[in-house]
Amino acid sequence: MKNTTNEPNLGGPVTLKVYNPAGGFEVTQVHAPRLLDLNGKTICELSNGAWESPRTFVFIRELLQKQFADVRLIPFTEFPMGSEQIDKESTIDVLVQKGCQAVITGNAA
Amino acid sequence: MAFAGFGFSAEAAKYAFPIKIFLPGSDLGPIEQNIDKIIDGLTKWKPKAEKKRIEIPPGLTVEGKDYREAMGKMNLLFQKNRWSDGLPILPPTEEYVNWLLTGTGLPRDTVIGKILPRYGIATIEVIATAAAMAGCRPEYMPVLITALEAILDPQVYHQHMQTSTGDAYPAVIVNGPIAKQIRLNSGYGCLGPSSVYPAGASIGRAIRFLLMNVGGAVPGEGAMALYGGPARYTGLVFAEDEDGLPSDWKPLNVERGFAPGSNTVTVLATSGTTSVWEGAALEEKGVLHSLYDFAGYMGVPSGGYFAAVFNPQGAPGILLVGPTTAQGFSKLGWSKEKVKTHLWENTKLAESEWLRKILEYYSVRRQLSVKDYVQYPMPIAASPKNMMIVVAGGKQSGHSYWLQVHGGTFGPVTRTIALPANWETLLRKAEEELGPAPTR
Repeated sequence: MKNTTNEPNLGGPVTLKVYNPAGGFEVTQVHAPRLLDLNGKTICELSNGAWESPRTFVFIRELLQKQFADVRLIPFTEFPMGSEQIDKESTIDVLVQKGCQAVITGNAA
Repeated sequence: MAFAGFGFSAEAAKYAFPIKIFLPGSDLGPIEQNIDKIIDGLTKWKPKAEKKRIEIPPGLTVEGKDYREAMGKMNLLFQKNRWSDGLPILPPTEEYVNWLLTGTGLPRDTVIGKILPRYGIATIEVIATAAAMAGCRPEYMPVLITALEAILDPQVYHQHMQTSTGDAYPAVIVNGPIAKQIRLNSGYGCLGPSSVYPAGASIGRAIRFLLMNVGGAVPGEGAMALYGGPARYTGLVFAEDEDGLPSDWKPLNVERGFAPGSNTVTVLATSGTTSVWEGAALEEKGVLHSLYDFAGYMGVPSGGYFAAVFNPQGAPGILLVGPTTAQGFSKLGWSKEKVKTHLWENTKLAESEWLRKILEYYSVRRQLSVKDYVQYPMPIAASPKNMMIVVAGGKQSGHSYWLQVHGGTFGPVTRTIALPANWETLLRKAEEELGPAPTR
């Protein structure tokens, strides 16, 4: 809001101290440590079924297999799909059962 | 942002590609060119937060050579931090927030809930901060706090409303004497701006600030609504016109099990705001014309209805009917229940390939069997009781309003409003400042 008039500066200097509107935030879980290397590891895919994920996941899979000959990739078709399904604890159980050591989630999920 | 909803810090090992590659038939070349970024996300990425903790953001200080300059700088700062809706904001100073806190008996550090997708913590103080930004008064606080509680109820499933590509906002309907006391509109222009009834706009704007700033529903970031919708500025916060109800029509909150005359808030996540042009209700022919008109607007194949069909408590939306129209219906023998049944019967959707496919899609998402739940023609709600009708609006007949439910959400929630011990004092002070509350 620029002062576009020739009004005198009334009231002198002003300091506004205001509350932060974002509110506090509690970190209750830390992100999992990263893998040193993808060779010999099991990487799993979780898809929300949207935004061309059948194409993008397949392509990512091919690119990873080219770089890491020993990587094991479990496709998203082996897991529940959709925004609500991939949110569930039961989906995490499936990831654990299948030995997933890392997960690629998409798209915009 | 989505990770924050699970208690992780609001950061993620992610790579954002240009949206065009996510369209049908797109060139996926950018993925190949950036595959190293994906690999880095699995191997090298390090989060800033490496242990569990509570993060409280600090307050802010803005200086100006005068009040105008300071206000301008504050508004720019809030815009840059994505805490703004683009309109001028009032400064949430300690003085203003403390004044607003006189409108509740709850301690300022009371946690009302966490708002997804960011999972920010909404304390009474944070709610008062949003209320200050929106220009609220202390007597609005009981409605605002209760509305947020209702929004965070699992039945509303607010996380979908927050992040959906659909354009969703909470409709907040107030019953009870508090509506008139705080100057909340139930009559002419109740969904729009008013100097005589300013409460709805301020409360609705405060709700939007909470959903956006605490919950992270920033357009294009946490909130993917393609259009957003004009109701995202000040929401849909209004009162039922209980004086205008026919004697045999129960108020919304009484239908939902609350005591007559009690102060309540009912919330439903809605997606549409449609003006319905219907005929007068002076004779049976006019009533039927109106009802078929309503049904025509309501009974369209909409993805928003199917959550209602799969959920016994779901509602397809809220039909607002003016008091004169409602009185006309009642005089001609149309009880609220009879109207609801008529609408339920006449809004059923014929079987079609599109309908079958959309139901299959939702049945997969919710792991429900379409065959078990749906018969054709398909009703837009589980039963006539699930149809919501609220009497509100100007006195003349001639128009009604349809607020269609947002798809994917669960259903309406009603909560009792708790008043602080100093309520009468607050109302007296409001009357001293604003004059007597309108009696309608």
